[in-house]
Amino acid sequence: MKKIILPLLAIAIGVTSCKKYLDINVDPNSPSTENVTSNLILPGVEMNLATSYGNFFRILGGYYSEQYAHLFGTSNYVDYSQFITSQTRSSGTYTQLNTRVLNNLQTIREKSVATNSWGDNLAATTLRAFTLQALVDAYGETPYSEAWKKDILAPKYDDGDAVYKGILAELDDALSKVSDDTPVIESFLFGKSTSAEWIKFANALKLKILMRMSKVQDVKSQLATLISQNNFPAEDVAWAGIWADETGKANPYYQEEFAAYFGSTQKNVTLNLALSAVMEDSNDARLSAFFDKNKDGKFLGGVSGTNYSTSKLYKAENFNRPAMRYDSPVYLITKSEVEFFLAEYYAKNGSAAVAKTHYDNAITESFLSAGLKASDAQNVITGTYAYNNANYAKLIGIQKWVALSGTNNFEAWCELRRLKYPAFGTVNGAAIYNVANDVFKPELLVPGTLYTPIDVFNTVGNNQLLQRIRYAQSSTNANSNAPAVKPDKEPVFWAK
Amino acid sequence: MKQTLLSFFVGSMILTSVAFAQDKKVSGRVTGADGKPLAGVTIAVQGSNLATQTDANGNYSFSVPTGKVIVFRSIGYSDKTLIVKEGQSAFNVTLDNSDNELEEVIVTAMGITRSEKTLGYSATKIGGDELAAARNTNVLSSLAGKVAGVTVNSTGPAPGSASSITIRGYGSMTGSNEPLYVVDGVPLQSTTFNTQGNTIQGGGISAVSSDDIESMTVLKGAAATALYGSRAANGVIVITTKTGKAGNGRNFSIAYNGGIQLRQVSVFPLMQNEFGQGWNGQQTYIENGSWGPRLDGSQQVFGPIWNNQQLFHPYSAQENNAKDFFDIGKSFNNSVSFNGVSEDRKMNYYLSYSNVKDDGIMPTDADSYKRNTIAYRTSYQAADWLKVSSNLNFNTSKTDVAGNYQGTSIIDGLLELPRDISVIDKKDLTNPFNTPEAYFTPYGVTNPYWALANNYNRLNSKQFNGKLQLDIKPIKELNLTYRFGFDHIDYDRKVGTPEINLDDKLIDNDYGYAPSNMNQSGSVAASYGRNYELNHDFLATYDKSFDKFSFTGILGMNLNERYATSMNGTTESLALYEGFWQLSNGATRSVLGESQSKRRLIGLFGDMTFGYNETVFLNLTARNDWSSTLPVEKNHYFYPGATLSWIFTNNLPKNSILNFGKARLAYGKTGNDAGVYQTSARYIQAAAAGYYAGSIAAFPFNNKNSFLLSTQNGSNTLKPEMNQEFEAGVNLKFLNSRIGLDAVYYSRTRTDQIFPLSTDPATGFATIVTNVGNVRNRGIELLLSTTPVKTDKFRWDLDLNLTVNKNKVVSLPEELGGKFQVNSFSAGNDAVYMYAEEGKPLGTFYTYLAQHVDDKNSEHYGKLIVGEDGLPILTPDVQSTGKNIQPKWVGGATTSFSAYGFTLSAALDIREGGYMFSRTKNLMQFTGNGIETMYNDRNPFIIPNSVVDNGSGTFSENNNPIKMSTSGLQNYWNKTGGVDGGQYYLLDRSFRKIRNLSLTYNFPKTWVNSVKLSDIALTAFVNNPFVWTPKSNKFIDPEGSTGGMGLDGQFGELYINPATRIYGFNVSLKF
Repeated sequence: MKKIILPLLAIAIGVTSCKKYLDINVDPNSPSTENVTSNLILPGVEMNLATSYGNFFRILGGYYSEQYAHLFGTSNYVDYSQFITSQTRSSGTYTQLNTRVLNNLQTIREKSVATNSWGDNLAATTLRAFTLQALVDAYGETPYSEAWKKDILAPKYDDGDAVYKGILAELDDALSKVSDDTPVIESFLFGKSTSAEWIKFANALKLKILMRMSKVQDVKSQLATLISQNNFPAEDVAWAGIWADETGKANPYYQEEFAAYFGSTQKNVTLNLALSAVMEDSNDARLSAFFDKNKDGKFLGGVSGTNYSTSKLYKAENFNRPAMRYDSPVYLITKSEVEFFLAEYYAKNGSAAVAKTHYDNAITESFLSAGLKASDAQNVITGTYAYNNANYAKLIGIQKWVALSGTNNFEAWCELRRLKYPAFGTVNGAAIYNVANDVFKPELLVPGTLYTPIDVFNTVGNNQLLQRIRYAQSSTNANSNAPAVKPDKEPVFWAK
Repeated sequence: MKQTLLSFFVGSMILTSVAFAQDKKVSGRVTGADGKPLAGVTIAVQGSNLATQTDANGNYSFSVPTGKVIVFRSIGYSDKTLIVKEGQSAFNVTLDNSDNELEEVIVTAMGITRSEKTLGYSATKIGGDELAAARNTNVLSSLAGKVAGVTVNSTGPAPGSASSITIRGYGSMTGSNEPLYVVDGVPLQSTTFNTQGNTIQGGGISAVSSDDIESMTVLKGAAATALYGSRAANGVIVITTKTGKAGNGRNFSIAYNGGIQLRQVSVFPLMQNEFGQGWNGQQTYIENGSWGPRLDGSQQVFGPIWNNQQLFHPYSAQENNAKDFFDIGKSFNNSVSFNGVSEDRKMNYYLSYSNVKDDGIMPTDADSYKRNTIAYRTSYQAADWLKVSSNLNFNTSKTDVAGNYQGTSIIDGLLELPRDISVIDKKDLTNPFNTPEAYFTPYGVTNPYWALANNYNRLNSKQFNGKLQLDIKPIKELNLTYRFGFDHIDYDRKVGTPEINLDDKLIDNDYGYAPSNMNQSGSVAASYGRNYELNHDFLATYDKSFDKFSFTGILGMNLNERYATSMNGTTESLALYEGFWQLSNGATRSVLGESQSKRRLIGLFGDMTFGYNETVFLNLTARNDWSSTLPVEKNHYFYPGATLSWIFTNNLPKNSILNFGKARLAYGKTGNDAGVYQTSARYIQAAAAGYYAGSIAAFPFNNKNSFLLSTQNGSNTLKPEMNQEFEAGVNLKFLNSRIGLDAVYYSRTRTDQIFPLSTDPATGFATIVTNVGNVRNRGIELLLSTTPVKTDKFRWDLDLNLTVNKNKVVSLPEELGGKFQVNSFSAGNDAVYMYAEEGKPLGTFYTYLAQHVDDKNSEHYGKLIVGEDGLPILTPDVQSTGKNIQPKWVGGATTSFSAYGFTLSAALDIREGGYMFSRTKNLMQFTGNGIETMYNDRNPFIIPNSVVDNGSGTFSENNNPIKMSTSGLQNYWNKTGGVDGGQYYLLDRSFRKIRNLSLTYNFPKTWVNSVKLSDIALTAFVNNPFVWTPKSNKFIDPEGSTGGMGLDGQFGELYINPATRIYGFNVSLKF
């Protein structure tokens, strides 16, 4: 027996000393954590934000703000056009924004603080604030104070207003540590640059945050300081000039809705009657910049709530798809939006002339973003929608809604909920299009009004906008601190 | 059975063989106590591997050395021994009936053989003949319904599909629930690929030819499997292959087994034949469904106007239009083996070749499986203390898959075909109306014939596996073994989708939705890889008996390394549209990726068995593992096991009522390590997902590369998960073993499961690898074996088995919501989730449900709430359906009747209860093709017992019929699932199946011998001749899944191909 036991013992001893033999659990497919620097992280973050915000949020916002209607035949987003929201729809986007965007921005922020790279810190903080604002604007509440901390597995949801205040403070802190010439990480947004452009972007974002809060909270002095600095972007903040006509490389919205890269038959989005009515009424040249003409060379807006599935008259080629191209920019914030905010600020604060200047600038900038000339804006600026301070809310509301229809439909839905213009008219979708008889009467709609979509049952009700999207399934399913889903009619904090 | 016994008997004797000086020919006749001749009695020389068997007349003849003991042995009879003395040459022997029927030998852990009667745990053995009977290409399919506690889940009906096995229920929430397959002491890798809704296997158990298998033993409990270590947590299936044997009157034998099979569709969705192409009651020329007007036989045009031409047809039902597509699949299988022993009986060899060619029900070979296997095994007793043996297997397989997926797949094209459109008219692919160019619908589906001809999905794989083994016996009681096992699989896969690039220029009127909407860029995805496993076992076995005591001790060590590497590339925008499936065909991009993984495991183990008086046996085992996949500082874990068995009939007076009785108790633990690379967070190359497309942004992007933290976080505090099991059982044999009962109770818990738990993505991660969760399986297994009739000429055997398993998720962290998502389906606002949820069975379904009045004081309590449109209002968030995947019980019966050389046998398999997700069911409603859409003859109706919400907590009776103007009826079926909400996706998974019905004729020995053969058998059989499902299932054979091998695969099916029935004919010849 000894003969046997001894060798086995020797083996046993050998085993305990062969940790090295077993120390192989390092993934060869993954670079080591130390080698992944901020400039290797940021491009991936940017493209994830561009995909979530510039695609999913854009489509959803377009339908919820009645800028988009559903194309003939397919039914992928008919529910959006009926102002329906579900926990399932946004789950993937919520996951992508929290994991690939916010969690990785957290890493860049930590790295930049550790190395006093304050330009990088500003860049990461600005994108983080932008993302969080979008989450609040969509969901109303979102995890923030307990989020992206590995040891908190059930982060609580913070009220929208707490998140807004938090990101404002973060932006102020990040801004306080940089000057225009502080070095900054290279990005797809600004290329190789110094902090100047990020500072302007952060200021524009602060303006958007404060203006949203302004209706429910007193932020006058903060707004006054920010506006007096007058350091806003000189160009639209957008991912532009980086796209190629290939799968995985083109504008995300174009890839999913317009390209045939994926064998897609998903042609869903078309111009809404509510939008075409306003734009045709004011002979707005942006209509043909934002939407492609139909086969007759005309514009025919569709009605929310139907896909004309049994229509003999209204086929796909009669409608107008958004004029998206593989290289269309993904806008984060446009000069036009900034000008609209300034117009609104001055209108409320008694400077009608300054307000008019900014209003006119806002519309002109929108024309320029659309690739048109400043002079093309004249008939809008001087026509039905010429500025009139007594009527500022309606004019700004309608024109901002028009301007955003070609650049950022999600913001259009937000501003619609806040400014309440365009307002609902008296005619409803079912009257405009009689599904059973296939009779279409677009002339019933008064330009500059919205209408209750066809087939809005049991959700928001008549003459109501959808006020929020339901919390993502990927959150409520796994988080005992996630609150109960709130009613679709309950406004987010700034829209009350 | 007798064959089996012979080989083990020979095997156990071989170690003490010595050279013989002088041989003598002996012969004689063996009879039973009733004086009738006994066929198949083994006659062996003790201490050698000399052996023979009696023929049909009980006669035998062979050469033996003088002075040696020869043993006559046959199942059901007592052994008889004789000593051959000088001058004697004829021995007529009578064997007495005995109760030694349980002297069967079972191969247990590490290739250790033990007498079944001494075992303290469940081990069920199935003979190779039984496995080979149904001629299943995948031998696992033959286990279905035969072993209590074992469930065989087919992943699909297509040739080459893998099968998965679960023993005693699902324990792991995300990991593998597959048992470990061990062939002749060497673990076999399982390399499966999920491709387009099919799970196919490159090598592994499904590549083993059933004709090469001597026996398969299922070791169920942790006590039985502890020695195999981590991978045995789900049980072990031990496969013993055939070895060389002497033939009838010669040193060798040759066996041939082969046959043909015909395969046809067995279950297809029931379709309505009243309404045709259209939507919302109106005819639309390009619709992919049958929500149109009532079929009236009138001549109607349909499809687009292409080049001034348009199709027309009578608007009448094509009753079997979808089913007509399928043809009869023809399959062939052949196997031949040469085997024998050397003249001096020191060496045996076995060489076999098998081939299989299966063709499925699709026209052409687009769904086919071809396999060639060569196996060679030999052992050589070099000296009485030294034996070397080897086992080499090589197989190649080629699997062609007809994919199941939404879109341009064959099955989707068939299921979405309007009831009035004929499919067989669409065969001619030179006709543009039969290609996407002018196909009648551009709504995502296409002509199945075009899909068949233009899609490509092939796996080629090669596997080389086996062992080299050395046994040394330095002293009589001690045996030292070294075994080197290896398993190498390499594969190349290619999946190609065709380009569709239409410009609609010949379309005059597309009725609004142009064929160019079907445009797709085409793609090629290629993947090449290899997986290997190296396994070293060192074993020392010590055997000693003194007086009434016996002792067996084993000490062993195991070293295991597994490595997988693969490279894959994809390309799109194909330059050549058809048939050139090469990465070079991509016009715009090629993406390359690679992956490697390596893991190592070291195990030390010991096993001791103490026996007293051949009556009481105590077995103790222990193993300690060191694994590379756990945090380095805490990478080892220990687990013990113990069993006790008592053959209590040895302590009872001998009686003919209860002739054998054993009681047993077992307790065991099995530790399990983590998957590779789960101990830390990892960076992976960045990509962004769109809403539909998986990768909208791919890096490198615009000349920049990027890496992001994986959405899965690792943990450096992982500890091994533990599988703990208690089992108690009895084996009873009554009336001279005519009735046998094996009854087991078990309780198994799997704690500290390592898996990626879903977390709120706001944690920064979508999943976190962690130790959580405790799943328990408790159940009973009953196996009743009977021989109701046994006469000289006629024998009837009937075996029944029953398993009742209660599965429960005992704990999951409450802060994480107390549940974990295993799998899900969502489309738009529809969603069905399958959860592991605390306090419930694994695999509980959640979905949006119809709302009911929940105020108990309301007069309308319990009634359905509907909206203005007359349709149910679904809940805003998903709710538990109370339904889950777990069956209430499963059972089976096998029976056979033998008389005059004929054997008629049948196998019944029953599954009662449990649910699955069925996309096919949903599609039957969506398209209006399903028979259920005929409800109320498609007239509007008021949903019975429904109320409307008055808004102030009160309700009033609903008088609104379903609003028809806006697709009300379609919405009733498709959006609100009738009155069931998302539950409408769920399908009762119960079935009763005759698995196999076969009739075999064994030609009379005298006749067979006259043509110089020793056996001729002809068999005709049908597999799956009858399938019964509950009335609610008008759609599919609920056995299949398209989700893969694990628990997640039990979720259900997406576009599964129809199940099949197989008619076969087989010839078996032995020389």
